[in-house]
Amino acid sequence: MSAPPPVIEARNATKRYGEVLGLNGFTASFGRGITGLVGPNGAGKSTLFRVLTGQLRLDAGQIAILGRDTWNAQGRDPRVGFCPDHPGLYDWMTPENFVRSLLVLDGFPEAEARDRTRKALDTVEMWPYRDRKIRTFSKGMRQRVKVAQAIAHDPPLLLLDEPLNGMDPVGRAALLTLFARLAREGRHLVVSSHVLHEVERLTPEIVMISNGRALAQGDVHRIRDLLDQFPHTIEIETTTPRELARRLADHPDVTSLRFSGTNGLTIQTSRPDDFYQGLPEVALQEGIQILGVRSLDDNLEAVFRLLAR
Amino acid sequence: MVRPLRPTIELARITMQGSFAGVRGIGLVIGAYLPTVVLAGVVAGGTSGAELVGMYENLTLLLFFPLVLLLLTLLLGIPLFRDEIDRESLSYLLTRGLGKPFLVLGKYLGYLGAALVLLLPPVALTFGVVSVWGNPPAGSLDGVLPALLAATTLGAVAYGAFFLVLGMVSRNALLYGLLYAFVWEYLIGGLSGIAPDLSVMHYLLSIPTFWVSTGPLATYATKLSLAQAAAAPCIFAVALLILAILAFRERGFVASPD
Repeated sequence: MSAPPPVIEARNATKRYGEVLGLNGFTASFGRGITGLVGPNGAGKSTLFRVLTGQLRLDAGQIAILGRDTWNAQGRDPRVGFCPDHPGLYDWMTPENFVRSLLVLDGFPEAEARDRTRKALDTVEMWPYRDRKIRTFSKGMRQRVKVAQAIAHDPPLLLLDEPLNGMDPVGRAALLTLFARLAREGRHLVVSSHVLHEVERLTPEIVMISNGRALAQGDVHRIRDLLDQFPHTIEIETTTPRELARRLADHPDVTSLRFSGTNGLTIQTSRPDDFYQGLPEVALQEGIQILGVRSLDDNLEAVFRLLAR
Repeated sequence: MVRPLRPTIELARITMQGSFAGVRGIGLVIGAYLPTVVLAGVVAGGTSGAELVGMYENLTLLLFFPLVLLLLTLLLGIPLFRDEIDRESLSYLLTRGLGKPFLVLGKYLGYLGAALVLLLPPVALTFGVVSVWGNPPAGSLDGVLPALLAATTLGAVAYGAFFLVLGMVSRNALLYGLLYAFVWEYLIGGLSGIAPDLSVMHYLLSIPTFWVSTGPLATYATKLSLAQAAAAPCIFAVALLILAILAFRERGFVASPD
């Protein structure tokens, strides 16, 4: 059985702002469920979202959402929900009016627009503030309003550009729970962030972007495993670091080591699986107590640093 | 595809609402009623009769049309898309079911509603101040009110479309708008030859000449017919709106790169 088609497919997508390349031959596909879009500031994440939402037209290449070109696609299925990263909202409106008006622009009858508005604001816990003007809101409250308008019309695809910006820890956790629920209900989400551990909490499927290009895509752990050319860094906590260092200095799987803190030893190895397998035997033979072992590379930040080199 | 009528009207409604929001709304209202306040002051100072009527018509020619009408339509028209682009809120409209032509139309209709609500009552009120308290000579104000209401409406129609396009395509729309208002519209109309035909103001100032029989409003130099004077601003507006729709369909708009 063939794999389902990607939700978003980009091929050599290029977008210039004068001499600045926002997207530079960006080629990637975003599958079903939740995909994280990660990259540093200025990587092209927001440019990609602007193209996906029809604000910008590509200078070259193609981008399609479920087979539909993104330019001049207003009113055509599939619909998209977009939560932008910037704080701009219609400040003179209340959140109830704002969300309801956008639903009317979507063609919903008045009564249904009101119902959906209530449901969306309730979901992001903003219904109690429905009558306050948006200009009186904190950053976190504005963020919730943005999420509310993005989900109110039940779009099959949600594009969320730094959706957790300005949120307190409780709010972040609530939104992460919401995003996971939406994905379980069958929606597709693309979530961009530079807060890498939060993307990792949400999904292992990522697309990494830098300087307008896709660096890598897929499962973050598999991406890391593929980078065998780069040594893995492992931190070992032990009561006797000097004895362990003496034993590991000539170990065939260890390329370098250094002391870190009072009880730590940081080693680099290009064969992490072999090293992990052999470490217990070394510890047993020498009577060395190992308190903890931690890979410093098997996360997005490390993978990104390596790929961006 | 969404049926566009109701969403377009909703967009017009929220555009109108936004036009009067905050400090800008207060400033617009003050600006719109400035001629009224000035005339009321003149009447309160004891000026009346033919002298007042002459002053009223000159004020309309020298203050209301070139300053109040142009400035207020500029301040209402330029932000229609410029504010959305700068605030980066255009995405909220583009991810809805309404097509781009109707987004332009909705914005324009919202502008027009705001402009007419802002400009027409002061025109009527100023006329009322002069006609009720100014002791004008009999017949001296005949035709003035409908002429001014018509010219103001046509001015709002034409200038709004121009400033909408300007705000859409230029980051420096305010500067270019002011240049257009105070250089092109103000000065070109004073030149001879075909130059006045290239300014919207010439058509607007021509309209009262067909309704008013005495005073400065009646003596504006024009070779246009009433139909020409009325049609030209409308054709100008329609052409610019078509241009706006084409521009919106063909190019993207962002305030700045990532």
